[in-house]
Amino acid sequence: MTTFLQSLIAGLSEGSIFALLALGMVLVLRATTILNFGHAVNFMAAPVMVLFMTKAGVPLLLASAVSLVGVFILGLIIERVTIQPLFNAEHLPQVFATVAVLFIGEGVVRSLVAVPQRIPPLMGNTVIRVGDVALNPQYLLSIGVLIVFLIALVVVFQRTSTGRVLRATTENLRGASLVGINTKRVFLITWAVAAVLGAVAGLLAAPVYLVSADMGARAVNMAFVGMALGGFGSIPGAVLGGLLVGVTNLLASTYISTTLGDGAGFLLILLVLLVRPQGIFGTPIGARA
Amino acid sequence: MSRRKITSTIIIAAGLAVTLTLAACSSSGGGEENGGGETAQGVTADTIKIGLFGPMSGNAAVYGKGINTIAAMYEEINANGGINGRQIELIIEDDECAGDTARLAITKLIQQDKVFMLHGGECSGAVKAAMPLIKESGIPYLIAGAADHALVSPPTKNVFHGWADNTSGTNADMEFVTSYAKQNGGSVKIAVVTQADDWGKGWTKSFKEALKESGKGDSVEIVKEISLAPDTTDATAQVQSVKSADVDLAVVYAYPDPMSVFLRNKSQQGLDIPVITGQGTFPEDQLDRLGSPEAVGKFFSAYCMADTLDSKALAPFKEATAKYYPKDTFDLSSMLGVTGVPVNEQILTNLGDDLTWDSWIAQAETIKDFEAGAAQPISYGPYDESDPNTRLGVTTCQLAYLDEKDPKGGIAVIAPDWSEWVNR
Repeated sequence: MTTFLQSLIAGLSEGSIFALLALGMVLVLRATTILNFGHAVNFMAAPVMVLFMTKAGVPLLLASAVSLVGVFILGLIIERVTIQPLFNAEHLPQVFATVAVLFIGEGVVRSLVAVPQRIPPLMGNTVIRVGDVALNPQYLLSIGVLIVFLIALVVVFQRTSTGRVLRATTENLRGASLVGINTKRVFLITWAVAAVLGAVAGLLAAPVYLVSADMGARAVNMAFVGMALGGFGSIPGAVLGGLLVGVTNLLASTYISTTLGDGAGFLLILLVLLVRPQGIFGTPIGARA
Repeated sequence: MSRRKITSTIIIAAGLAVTLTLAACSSSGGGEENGGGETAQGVTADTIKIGLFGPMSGNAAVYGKGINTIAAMYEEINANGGINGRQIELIIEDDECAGDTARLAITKLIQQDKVFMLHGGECSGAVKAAMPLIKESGIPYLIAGAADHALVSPPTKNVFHGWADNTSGTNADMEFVTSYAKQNGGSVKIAVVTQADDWGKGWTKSFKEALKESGKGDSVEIVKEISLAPDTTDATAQVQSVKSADVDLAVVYAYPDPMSVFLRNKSQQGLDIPVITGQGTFPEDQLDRLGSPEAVGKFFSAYCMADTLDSKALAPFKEATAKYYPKDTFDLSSMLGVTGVPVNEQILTNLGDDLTWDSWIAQAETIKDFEAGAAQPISYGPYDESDPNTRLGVTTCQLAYLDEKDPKGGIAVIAPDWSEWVNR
């Protein structure tokens, strides 16, 4: 039982990182129909900022908060520079613009941080023990942050006028424009908020993943898997998919074989998509009017 | 298309383009003139051009510190007047610890930069990928820290190891494990955790062979064999698996990144057994990554240096690094493969003006019990396709660990015998 609980918590923690990343990608996908390959840049950017700020003596918490603001601004800039100019372009150039962002971002981070470096965990290193189960506070923080963001997003989308504007834009771009919604502004804000979600995931992961230009590669891949599993464009789907991928990978490694690793998540998605191609919460037709 | 796929496509396309361009531009890159003739590429009246390569960025960039020390030692040779009046001109390339990039770097160094010889390579996978190019060209090559035994077994005529390969490290590991058995009732149960790639498998294979060849293998029961992904971010499954196997020791062959993940989870999940590894993952670096002395307690790394980092023997390397790479914290990573420099200095000095590839190889084969200062004496021998030792530099390693009560005190070095640690 101890082994199961230990693996489950570790899986949920990893899954929370994937889910937060997937949430950011889903927001962008819903608002703009663009699959953002450059999301790894947001994941890296905040830890890089924190790394340099803490080295300069800025307290960790303050540095983390400042980095989130920094990534929000970065998100605005990236959207303005790469997506707005391609607002009316075909889908493929838009996606390639995000790929370009990814490579440029990785290049910049590689030039700044050649050797992977560590930033301390926000919750310290002291482990909480419940019976034989060791609870890493950073793991619990990841799970907690995911829950908070999920609730916040649901409230914003369902209960606020901003949410209604976002939903209207997502469901019918032309209709939203006709009723006076500034869709370009919606895109801009969505992109920046999604960037912050990626940054939060990065800050939670950084003490384990270490800060480097490659830190986002695996996590973003797994987030894509989670998105596909939960259903592209679905917020609950992104969360459930991310968590399922994290837990499946861990439990499969523990109980089947450590050689399976991330392959278990891909196997799961294959099985689910064979039965339900649109993913768990996805709808069969994802095209926007 | 996935990011990895896109990356691969771009790398392959770029690789093809560069290779074709270089092939078109170079008429006789590795021609006869480099072999037995009077002149060789990369040599002038005043300079000898050496191509140095290694992981200067990426996940294994910590090994780039070894390349920095090698470069610093060459700079120091230059500062002291060079070799027979010639300055060493270094061209440093980043192989990113990746096969594709290493092949591009080697092609560039040989065909475009036209270096006299190659030095470097800290990652076995990257060096293995580039080895056919090096072998085909015939250019003299001194391996830095890349440790896979397959790099020298079977030996390649123009390739010499300036450091220890994994057999040296796994012999130390084997001695430590079997001595534990001897002093604890005559047997020991161990788990072997292997990084899931050629590098990790090479180490585990070498460890098992060392056990078999030692004749002490019967005292060691490998209860659990598990793998660890190089890009893992959680090793709970591995730690729990080792824990449930109820073993005395764990032998773990993994790069610094996955090792730190394993050690972190091991410490947090209360798995209190010694961990033994080869010479590529160092205690100080792990402390840096983990920030927790308990996590690196009972962590033993094969140590192939002659003495500790603060010793007189290693002082020239430390001073050169401080002089030319002041930002580098001098640690075990900084020493990875550096003995090749004094060896090469000796070979080039002996050669005088006879600087051809064939003469360099012939001169290297005469190196016998050479005191490189940093490690055990180095010997090579006439090429024998059945004897890897004709090309292997350092063959003896010890073990290093950090005292968890005084982690800032630096590493302690012991002979690979359990009683050495018990009686520390």
